[in-house]
Amino acid sequence: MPKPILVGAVIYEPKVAVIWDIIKEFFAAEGCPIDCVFYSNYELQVTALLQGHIDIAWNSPLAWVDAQRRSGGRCRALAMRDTDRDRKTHIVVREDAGLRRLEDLRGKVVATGAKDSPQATLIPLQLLRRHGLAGGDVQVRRFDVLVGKHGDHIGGERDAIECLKQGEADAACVLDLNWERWTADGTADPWRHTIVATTPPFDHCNFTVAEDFPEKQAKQWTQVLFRMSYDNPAHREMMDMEGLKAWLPGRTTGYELLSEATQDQGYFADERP
Amino acid sequence: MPGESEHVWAVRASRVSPSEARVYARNHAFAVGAQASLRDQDEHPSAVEYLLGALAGDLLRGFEVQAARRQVEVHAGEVNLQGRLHNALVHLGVIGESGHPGLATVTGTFYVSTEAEGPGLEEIWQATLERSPLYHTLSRCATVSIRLQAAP
Repeated sequence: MPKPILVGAVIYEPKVAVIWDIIKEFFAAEGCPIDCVFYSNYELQVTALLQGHIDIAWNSPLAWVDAQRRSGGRCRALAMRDTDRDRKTHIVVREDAGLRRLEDLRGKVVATGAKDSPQATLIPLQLLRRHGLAGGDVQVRRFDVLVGKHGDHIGGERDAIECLKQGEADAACVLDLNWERWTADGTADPWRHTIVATTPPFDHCNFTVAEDFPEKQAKQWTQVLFRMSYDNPAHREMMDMEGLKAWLPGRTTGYELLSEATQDQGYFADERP
Repeated sequence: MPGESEHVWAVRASRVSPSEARVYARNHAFAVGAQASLRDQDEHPSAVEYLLGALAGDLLRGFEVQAARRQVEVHAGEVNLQGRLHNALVHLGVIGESGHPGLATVTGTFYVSTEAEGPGLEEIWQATLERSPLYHTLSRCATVSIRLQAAP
């Protein structure tokens, strides 16, 4: 039996393991066996990747930035979902609040997701910072749900929009895909709430490898991954759960805004030397 | 403590494939799929589902016995049970999680339609619980809460 490639993933709820069962079965059938190693948080996973305990990590954008920071920029991104590319976060306000520009949020309460959520906290706060609203210029009401999982769990983001709905915040930060979903299912009311600003596009998760992962193996692995097809019902279950229609090559140009946010907001400053 | 003369119930299980075990009990055989499946559909029930199913079956059959002893006819019965693991992520081997993979709670409802009502029905139910091997086993290691609901 060939030695399996070890793929790390952070699991925030048991059902997510089904996704990896399906991927594992597919890779085995394609003659490229993998084994999955699950972590409770991204910090553990990035450490495992850089220490060689796993070969590939399914990394959040913040975990990618962390891996690059800790490896001196030597990691590579092999692949990502189509939906990982060009995401945006909306800053949503009440329609009748008279808030028309970002600058109108000065002195107001802005509800965000967990402190380590790129999409619901770090990136939208960086947008505010770029518009001169840093530090104490706005009052941040943060919903730290399942910290360590980098906002994979949307609980904090949902709490933020609920906070806006209850009138306890003046604005809430919501990923574009969640805004679409929540305005469709009634969680948010598009007639009562409006988008006051949207971040520049950014990229989300990717499959990360360390510098010493063999190029030949990386090529073989990604070729198998790209053979997964939404037209195949066996793959569609997994792809629907994971929210993609196709796997694409990894790109690393979509993390600049997040990288800037972690530096300006001192995200890593108090965590590790 | 049980003595050597106590009856012993025995099963035997053998590997059929990486995803199936077959269990033999006296003149019966049944297939077990995953330990605790998270998928919507599988070829076989999981071990956790067999455990919950065994409890449900135990209670339904036990209720029947207790009702018969009181000359009460049972028209219909159904049990819905839900089991929750203490931490399913521990079962999945998630590094950094704590707790244990065992059942933490079993909750559900026992629906029954009988000739008996009120105290008579409750007496049958309590006798059922008192004599149930699986209820007693599980309630020593998990919180088991099953509500009796009389149906017309």
